[in-house]
Amino acid sequence: MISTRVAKNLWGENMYFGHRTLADLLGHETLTGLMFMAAIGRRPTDDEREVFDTVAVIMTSADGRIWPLKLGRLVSSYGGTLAGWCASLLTMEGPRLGPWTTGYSAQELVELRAQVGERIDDEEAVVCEARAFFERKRRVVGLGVPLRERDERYVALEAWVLRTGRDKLPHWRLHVALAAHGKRVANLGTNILLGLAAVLLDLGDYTPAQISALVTFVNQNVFAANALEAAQQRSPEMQRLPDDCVLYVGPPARTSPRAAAERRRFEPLEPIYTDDGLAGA
Amino acid sequence: MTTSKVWNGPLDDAEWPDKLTARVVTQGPCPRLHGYDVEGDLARHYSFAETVLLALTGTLPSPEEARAFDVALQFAAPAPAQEAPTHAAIIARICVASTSQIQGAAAIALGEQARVLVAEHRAWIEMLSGPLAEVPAAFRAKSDAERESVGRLRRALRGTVDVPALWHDIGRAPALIAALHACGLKTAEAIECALVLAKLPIVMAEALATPAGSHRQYPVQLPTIAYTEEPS
Repeated sequence: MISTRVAKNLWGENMYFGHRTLADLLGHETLTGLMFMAAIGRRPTDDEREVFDTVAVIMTSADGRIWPLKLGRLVSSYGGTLAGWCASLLTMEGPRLGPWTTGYSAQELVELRAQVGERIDDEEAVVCEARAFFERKRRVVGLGVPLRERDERYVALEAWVLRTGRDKLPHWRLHVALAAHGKRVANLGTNILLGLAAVLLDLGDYTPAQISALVTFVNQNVFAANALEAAQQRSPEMQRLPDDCVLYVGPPARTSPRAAAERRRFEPLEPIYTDDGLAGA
Repeated sequence: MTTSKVWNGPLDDAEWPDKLTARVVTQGPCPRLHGYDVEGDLARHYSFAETVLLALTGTLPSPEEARAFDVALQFAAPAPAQEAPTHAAIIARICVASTSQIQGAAAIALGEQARVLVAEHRAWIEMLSGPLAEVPAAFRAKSDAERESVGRLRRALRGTVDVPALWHDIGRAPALIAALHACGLKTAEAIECALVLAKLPIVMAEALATPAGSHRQYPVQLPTIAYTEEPS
């Protein structure tokens, strides 16, 4: 038997994570709250709901040229919105790019936090452990900003954190120390993913896997918007690029052994045609 | 008249290639696959299975490899209704999904099934590249039914490629992977692709044989899913 905490349909009511949707949630819970419940299994506090609304807005980087979003637009170009949306999401699960990666950044900070242990209030110890952590790993998920000096989403998150006084919390301080060392020794900028992981680890007792799900769930608007628009456009150029936009670099034209054998077998018997007609006629 | 503001960002100011790179297929009226003319050469002289092997390996297979690949694909093809890919495709059909939607759902599930199977056999795939001394317990046959299936595979492959692993007491999945490996599919990725390719038509056949919209004929209680409010 498989157990589920998600939901059950009742007569005249539907349960969702222990709450009656129509009697308890209707009028009291938001879309963000429902997504939060999907990832964490309980209702968010007011603070959590506000943070995730903020996260959703900050993470709204929906340029249709960004690789996974472009992928979704290509698939949706035949008119299917959900086909492109699903295809985009398929590429997300893993430690590569996109919102799912936040959980992998969180894992980095969980490991660093474990190393710092009881010395979390000792700033010198935090800096020292962050340095050692970076030197040991060299590649930290969430350090590195493509195409630009600073991740504008991180800049906004940092300002919001300072404004709301969350900068004194342990994981934020850990990530600051880690990011400072990464910047100093490898000129790595801080990606939104690492900052976000720090904020979320300080916010609640979430696992890295839950953080991956949470951030991806509240980031759905970027995938949905591109898929929907591409499905409506049904762009012929998306369905097929012009021929001169493709460069072939594979093996040169060649003849298979069987075709070559056939040619050797039949060529002498076959009439040879030229532009002037049958040769030798 | 309205004028729209020009917004520039990092994607606009960075340098990018101006062409999409193709490494396997050429465009045009006479498409080529790894350099071979598909319509004028491959279609006349090679089977579809041989063309698939060429696509996945970059090399035309020997007749023995091609025949072995054909056998391996047939052994890999069955995708019973109780397995998630076919079960999912049946539900998609019941939900009156389009063929493209059923194929999409089926292909994702098959891809996931193949990914897990190949991940569980990653060490086995590495072992297949060298001389096989002893088979780890995880890859041995678990039942006589498995042994008999491996025996049938060994007999079906007779006269094709040499698959030494099949002479060991191995399970059906390791045997199938060994056969695909012997056909020239040396990487986990290529083996995953072959497994999906083999099963997709069977999954679709089962789904399309299901009456669309037959919600009330579907056993909604299988397997039993029980709601609980206990913390996980």
